[in-house]
Amino acid sequence: MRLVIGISCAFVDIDNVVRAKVELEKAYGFSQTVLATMAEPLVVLDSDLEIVSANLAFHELFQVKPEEKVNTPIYELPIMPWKDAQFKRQLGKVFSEGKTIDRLAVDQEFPKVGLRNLLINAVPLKASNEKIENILITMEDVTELRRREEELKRFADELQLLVDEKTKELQDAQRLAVIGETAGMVGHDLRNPLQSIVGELYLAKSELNDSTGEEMKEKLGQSIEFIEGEISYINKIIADLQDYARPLKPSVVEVNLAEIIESVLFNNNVPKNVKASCRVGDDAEVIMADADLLKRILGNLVTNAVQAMTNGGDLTVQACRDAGDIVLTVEDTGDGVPEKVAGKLFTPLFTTKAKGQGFGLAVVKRLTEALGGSVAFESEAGKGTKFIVRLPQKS
Amino acid sequence: MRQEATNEELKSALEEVQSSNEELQSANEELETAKEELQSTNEELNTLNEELSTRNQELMRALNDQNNLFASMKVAVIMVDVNQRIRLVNPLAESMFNLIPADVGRPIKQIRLRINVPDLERMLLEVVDKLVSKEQEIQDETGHWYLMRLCGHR
Repeated sequence: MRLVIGISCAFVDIDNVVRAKVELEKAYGFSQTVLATMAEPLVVLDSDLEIVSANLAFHELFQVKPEEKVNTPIYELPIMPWKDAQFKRQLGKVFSEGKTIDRLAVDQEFPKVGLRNLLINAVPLKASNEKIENILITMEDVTELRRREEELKRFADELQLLVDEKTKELQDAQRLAVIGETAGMVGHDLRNPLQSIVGELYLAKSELNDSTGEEMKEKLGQSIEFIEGEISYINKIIADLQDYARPLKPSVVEVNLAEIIESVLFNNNVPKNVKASCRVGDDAEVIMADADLLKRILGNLVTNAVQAMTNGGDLTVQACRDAGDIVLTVEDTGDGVPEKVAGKLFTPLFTTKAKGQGFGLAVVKRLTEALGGSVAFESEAGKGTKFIVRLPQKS
Repeated sequence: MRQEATNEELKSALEEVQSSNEELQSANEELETAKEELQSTNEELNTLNEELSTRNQELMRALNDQNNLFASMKVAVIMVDVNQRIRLVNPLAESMFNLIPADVGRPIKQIRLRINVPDLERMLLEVVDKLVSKEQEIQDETGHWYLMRLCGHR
């Protein structure tokens, strides 16, 4: 007896499904290949922190066979860079809050391969319902990178030492060369005031014979004044040369900057047509520096500024604190520094003045550097020049 | 004597009339009964007719629903009888397999379905004989994938 009276043949269009499946299989195969061949160890855990799957690099590094480690809690592996509870808590947070672990540095000794520096990353893997089902842990092996970094750092340090040493040698050599070169020049420069003095003395002697009384007194007084001026000029030449030539041993103590600036402005005989002003910030009044060097630095800058303003102008000295450093500025309203000499400004023996040795700014630079600072300038043709001395304040 | 005889005859005639009348009366009674029976039968028939009409309407509605469902579903369906002759085709199957209404009644093996199932006949036989359902992923000639489901009904 036949029970069936008919058959329905139904055809459901599953083309998209089949094709999607094929694509999925292809993508899966691709990702499996990528995972298997990639050099970074990689392991997937479930919510019990048991191994779900791992790639070849993981198996090799942790010396486990692929089949025996599936479903083993990661804490039961013979080699564990994550023995501490802190890491376990962090893994728990990946599950509970989706909080990733980002480049956690771990050092671990491995059999055969030795000590490895690993950076561990952990990210949550979400199922389609947004629930976190697994954790993917990747490990970046940065051992080689670390080693290279350290090597590089060592090289850099060595190089820096070498550079410092050579720079110092070079500076000394340069300085000595300059001294040699200048010896002749200074001799020549010194002869001028000396000859003036000799001439003046001869004149004074004849005054002694030729005149008497008040007239003689007055004429001799003039001669002495003239001789004094020439001597102070000689003094200046010698002082600059000494500043540049002698080794500097600054003694840094607490000094009153405002007082130093006042005294420099006073001692420099600022002419009447130059209006000098001084502004010192409250936080820059007392600083750590060598008073003597500071006086010479400021003195040179003030002299330069005054000489730049033969027709008068404003001289402004300011001091303030900037990011822990003391910043001193000496500003004039002179003609400015011509562009073509700007690069040579701090070079010894370079001068644009008829009566000068070209030591002023070279001395400023040397003294500033002796205090660990730096000097720079800003200049605008026709408007003036501003020298900026920056002195670090070690705290 | 003659009068006496006539009288006798009259008497018997009256008796006959009387008996006829009685018979007629009883016949009339029987007819009355029959009429009543017929009336009740008629009533029953009327009721039955109404019931059938309602059932008919219900069946029509069900058939209509089924036809609509059959026509609108996104699944191509061909129904065959036990002799593998086409019994019913839905519009999607018509367009998918290029079938025409005249194909209904023809054996399915006579129709080129443009699908790659060489052993469709054997599978249909198996469904009839063993009362099993069958499912297979198949491809048509252009390579498009379908899920074919064969299902026997009783």
